Amino acid sequence: MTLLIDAQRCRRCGEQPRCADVCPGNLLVLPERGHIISREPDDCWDCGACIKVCPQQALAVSLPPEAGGQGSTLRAKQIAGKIRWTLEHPDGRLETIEL
Amino acid sequence: MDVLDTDWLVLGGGAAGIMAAIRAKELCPTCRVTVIEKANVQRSGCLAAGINAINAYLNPGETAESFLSYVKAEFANLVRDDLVYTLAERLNEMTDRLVEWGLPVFRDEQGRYLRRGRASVQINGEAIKPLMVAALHQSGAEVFNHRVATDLIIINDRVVGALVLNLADGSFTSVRAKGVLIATGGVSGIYGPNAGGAARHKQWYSPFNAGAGWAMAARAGAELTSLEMRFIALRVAHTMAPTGTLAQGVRTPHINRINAHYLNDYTYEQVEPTTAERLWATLQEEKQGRGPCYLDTRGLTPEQGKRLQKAYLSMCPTQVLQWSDAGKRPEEMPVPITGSEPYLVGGHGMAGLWIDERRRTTVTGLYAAGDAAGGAPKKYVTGSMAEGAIAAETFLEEIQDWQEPNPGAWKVAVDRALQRAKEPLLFNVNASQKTDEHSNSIGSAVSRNSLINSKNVATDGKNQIRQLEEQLQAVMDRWAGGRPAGYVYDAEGLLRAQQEVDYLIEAGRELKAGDAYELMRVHEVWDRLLLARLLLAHMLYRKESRWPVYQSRLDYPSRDDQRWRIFVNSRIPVQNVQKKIEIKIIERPPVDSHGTGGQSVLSAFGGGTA
Repeated sequence: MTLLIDAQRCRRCGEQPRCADVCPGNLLVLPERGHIISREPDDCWDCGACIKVCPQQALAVSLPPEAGGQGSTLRAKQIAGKIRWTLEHPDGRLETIEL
Repeated sequence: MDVLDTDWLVLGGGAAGIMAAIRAKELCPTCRVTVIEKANVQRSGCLAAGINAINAYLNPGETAESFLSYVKAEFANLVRDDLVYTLAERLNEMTDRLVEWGLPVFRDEQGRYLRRGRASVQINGEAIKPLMVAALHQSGAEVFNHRVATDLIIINDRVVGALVLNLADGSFTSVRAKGVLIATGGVSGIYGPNAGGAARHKQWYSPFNAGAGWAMAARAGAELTSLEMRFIALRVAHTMAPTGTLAQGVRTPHINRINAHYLNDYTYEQVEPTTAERLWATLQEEKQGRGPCYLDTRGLTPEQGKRLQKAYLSMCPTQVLQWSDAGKRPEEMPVPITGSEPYLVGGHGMAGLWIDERRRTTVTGLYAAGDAAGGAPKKYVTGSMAEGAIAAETFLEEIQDWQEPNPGAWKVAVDRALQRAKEPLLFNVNASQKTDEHSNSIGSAVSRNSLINSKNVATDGKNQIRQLEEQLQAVMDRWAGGRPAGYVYDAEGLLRAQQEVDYLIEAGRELKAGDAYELMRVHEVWDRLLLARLLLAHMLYRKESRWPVYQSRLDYPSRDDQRWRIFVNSRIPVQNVQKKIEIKIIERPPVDSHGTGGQSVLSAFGGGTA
C-alpha cells in the first residue's frame, strides 16, 4: 500500500470527499462509517491528486517496499494557491518544500 | 434509461478532449458540447500529477517542416507526414493558450519561453489539468465526471452516439450525438509492470487508461495503425519517473555501473542523442552486464538539487521519496534508470486509430485525437490539443450532413450495446427491470437498488478481474517482447501468445461484476484483451525490425525499407464482432507530403538506410 490514510485526521468532508472525487482511478470510497478507504490499495498510481485536496492532511504517499520504499512520506497542504509539501524522512526529520 | 441529446460528444477529458470541447464552443456557441470523463477532469488521465515541460513546441528557428523532419528522423522515416505537419503548425498556438489560461512558464532574457530541448520549453505544470478545466468550464461545454462509455452506437455504418455507464449509481445513459470524438488516451496494462505487488501501478503511464476508445472504435469497424510500434520509455527505476528533467533539463551524464559514460559509444557525438537512442544504449549496457545505469546527478549544486525536488513534485512526487528513502540529497546520489513496460500510446509513438488529416477515423461520425490517434508520434500535450482542435473544426464543417436516426433503429442499436455492457452483472435483467418500473429509476440493467444489494453478495469477482489482467500481462511479457524478454520477440512466441490470449478472451466472458466499479473493471480487461489480440496480429505481420527496442524481432532482425516502409493497419469486420475475433490486416503506403526527406539518424542502431 502506498497511499497512507490517517484514520484520526479524516473528517469525511460532509460525505462529499474531494479526495474520492479527484482520484483518477476511482479508488477512494467512503464507507457508511469511519474514514475514507481505498478499494484496491495496490492500484494507486501515486499521482498525489488526493493528498493535495485533503483539507485535513489525512493522506500521505510513500513508496512501497517493492519499489525500494523505506518509510519516507509526503503530505501536501494548499496555502493561498501554493502547495506546501511536507517530506518526512525515514529518521522522522521533516522537510518543507513550497511550490 | 436516460437519453441525452448533444451535438459534439467528447469521450475523455484530457488534453485532446478538453481542447476539442473548447474549440467547438468557440466556433459554435449554440452547439451542445458534452465531455464524458471516467474520473474527474480536474485530475484525470496521464497529466494527473502535472508535467514540467511542454515537449512539442517550435522554438525560434524551428518550423512545422523542421519539426516534421525531426519526428521522421526519430521514427525510422515512417510517420504520417500530414498529421505531424498539421499539428506542428498549431503547437505554439496551443502553448500560448495554456499560458493564457494561467500556466506558469519560465522565460529567457528576451522574454521568450525558456528552451529545454529542441522542441521543448520549461514550465511549472503541476496544475496543468485544473487550469485546462477552468477554461473548459468557461467555454460552456458540459462535463459529466465518473462516467464511462462502454460502446459506440452505430446505425447504418455511422456512429450516432455512445452508451455511458454512471459509476456513481450504476445507471446507463444513451447519448445521441452528431459527432463523437475518441480522446480516451493510450493503453497501459497490456504488459506487466516493472514491479509487482503494492507497486503494480508504479507505472509511467496512467494505469487507468485501458484503451476503451480504441477498443470501442475497433468493435465499430474502425481501422487502427502501427500497434506494433509499442512505446517504451526510459525511466527512473522503481519510481518510473520521467528522465527528461535530468537528461535534458540539467544535462546529467549517463553512466553505467562502472562509472563509464556510455552514451557516446552509441551515438554520434555531434548529434544530441534521441530519446530512443538513450533507451537503446541503456538496455545494451544492461544486457552486457554493465547495468544498472544511472543519470549522474552528483555534479549538481545543492541549489540545482532543490530545483530538481520541486520539478519532480510538479509531475511525479514519489521521485522525491526515492532520494529521501536512500538518505541522500538529489545531488548526492546518481538516479538509477531503466526501460518501462511497453505501452500503446499515440502521443509518444505511432500506435492508434487511423485518421485522416482532418482527424476523421475510417467510420463516419467518429473522430480521434491525442494519445488515441496514431501516426503522429511526439505530439505530447500540445500536439494532442492541436488534434482536438482540428477534429472539432472538421466536425462543425460536417454537422449539416447529420440526419436524425430512425427511432426504431436507435432502440435496437442501444439495446444491443446495453446487452453487451451489462453481461457481467450478477443480477438478471428481468429482476432489475422490475425494480426500475417501481422506483422509476434510470438504467434497466443495473439499478441503484441492485447495486446496493450487490454489496451483500459474497463474490471474488474483484480478484478474478485482477487475476485475468495479470495473466494477460504474464503472457505478453513472456511471449510478446515484454520487459523480462528484453523487448524482443519472434513468430513462434507470438503465435503462442495468440493462442493463450484467445483462451483468456474466452475466460474473460465469465468475469462477474457486483457493482458499477467492477463492471468498469471487467470492461477494461475485455478492452485490454482485444487490443492485445490486435497488437499480436500487427507484431506478427511486420516482418522486419524497424524501430529499435519498440519493434525488434529476433527472426527478422534487419530493417527492410524496400518492403516494409508501409503502415500496418488492422480492422475487425463489424459483422464478426460478436463471434470469434477476425482481424483483417491492411497495408497503407506512406504519403511523403510537405516536401521533407526525413533523413534518419538512427544508423547507429544498424540497419539504417539513411
